[in-house]
Amino acid sequence: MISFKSVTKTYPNGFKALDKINLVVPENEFVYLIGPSGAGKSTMLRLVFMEEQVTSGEIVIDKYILGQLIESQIPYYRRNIGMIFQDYKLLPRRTVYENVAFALHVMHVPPKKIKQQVNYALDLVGLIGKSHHYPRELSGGEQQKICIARAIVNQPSILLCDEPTGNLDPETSWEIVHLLTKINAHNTTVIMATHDTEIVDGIPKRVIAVEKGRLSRDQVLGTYVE
Amino acid sequence: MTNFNTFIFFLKETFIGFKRSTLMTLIAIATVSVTLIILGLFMLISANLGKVTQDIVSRLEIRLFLKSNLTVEDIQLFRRKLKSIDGVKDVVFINNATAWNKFQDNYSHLNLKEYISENPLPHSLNLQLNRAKDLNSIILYIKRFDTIIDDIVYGGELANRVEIFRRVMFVSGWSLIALLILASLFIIVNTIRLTVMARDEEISIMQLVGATNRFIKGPFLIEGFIIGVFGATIAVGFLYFSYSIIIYQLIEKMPFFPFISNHSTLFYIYGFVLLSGAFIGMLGAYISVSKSLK
Repeated sequence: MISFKSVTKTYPNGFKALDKINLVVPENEFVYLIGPSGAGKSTMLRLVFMEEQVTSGEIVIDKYILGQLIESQIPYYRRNIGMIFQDYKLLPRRTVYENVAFALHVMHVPPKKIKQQVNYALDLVGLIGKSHHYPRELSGGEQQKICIARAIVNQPSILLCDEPTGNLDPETSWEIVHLLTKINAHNTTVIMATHDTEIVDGIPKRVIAVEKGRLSRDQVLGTYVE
Repeated sequence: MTNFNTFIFFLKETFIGFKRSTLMTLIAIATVSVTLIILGLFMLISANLGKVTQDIVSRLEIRLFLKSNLTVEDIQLFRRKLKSIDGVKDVVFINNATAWNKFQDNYSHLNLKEYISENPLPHSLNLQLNRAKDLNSIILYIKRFDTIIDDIVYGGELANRVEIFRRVMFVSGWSLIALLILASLFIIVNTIRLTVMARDEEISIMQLVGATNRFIKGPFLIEGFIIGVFGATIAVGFLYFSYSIIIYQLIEKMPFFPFISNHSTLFYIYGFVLLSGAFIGMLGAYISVSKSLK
């Protein structure tokens, strides 16, 4: 479960990215986070991922009260959350397999189990046949799939997607979103920040709209435009 | 088992790191080598100067000319008393007959026997000291025995100067070694920092997938250690061969100088250089990667 209680985020330059956001996302829900650029969508995801800290208010993720976590606990907290980026953030000089396995190495997973889990994740995203390729040898969609495989390989309870289809063609975008819904069906909460009207309208889910740092709409099975 | 697997992972990551930034690694090793060669050279020079000073100090002696009315028993008793003084290494009795013969031998061209029929020299005692700094206090103590001693002869000013030189050498030597280690550390931190910076993106991705700072630092510390040990080994090799050649020449040309050629002292110096390399390499890597994790 994700809970925002009167969350405000003000940057050092005085810019208020989020203003008293209240929000609850129950377990296993699929949520579209929509809004124009600079509205605060990515800030919300970064706060959940603890890349940034709230200025005031409180965020609770499952058993974690984020404000109470000390710096050394953040890596352990992050292992419960998968994150997908628009620019993939892959290690260019490592193979598909190594990129995905990397997330398990940092968690000290035994080598045998790493192989098993990586193969499962790559099979799920349809890249099992390309595990020895390097990211540069693959298309944008395939690179995003590596990113997804890496995010889900340790079976996190929450998957945060920051405009995952932003750099992809429509056909590949659909493929990615179908993959995300499939992951959601495996008991993973998915929060997807997006600008993609067709996807939001095509696969109706809960829609949370943000504008100028405030929640402007929260709609069950909503559409991109109200 | 987990720790062992993690260590194996660190080792693999370290060698992947070496492979991907071979040039930077070689530059880092060369930097360590050069700085440690300078450090080692300084230590060798410093140790040799120390040995020379120590040698001069060990030759410091106080000559006591004794009153002529003393018996051999009195002299032996006094000798034992002097020997028990703290800081006195040895006390040697020099019989006046032996001294007179030696004197005549030294100045045989003067034909002294013709002019001086009786031995004019008194019995004497030679005091050898452990430390030059004790000289003045020992002289002060000895002067009390004016019923036994006729005259005291010693190189007072020279001894004091040698002692001052030894102290200056000790303080400035270690200060310079500390400075050199700091300078080496600074150079190595910046060289390793370049290899870390080349992997900044990788570090940020590691953080995103939940790697702890300790886990991220692991391979870099091993890398720093290996760079340090490799660099130090090259430095020790260079120092060993060049010192052996140079010292051989010097001993031949100046056999009276007590140059360090025994293996145990050299072993300590080379060991110190090797350990410094490993320590500086690891510390340099730690500082470099810590900067990236901020």
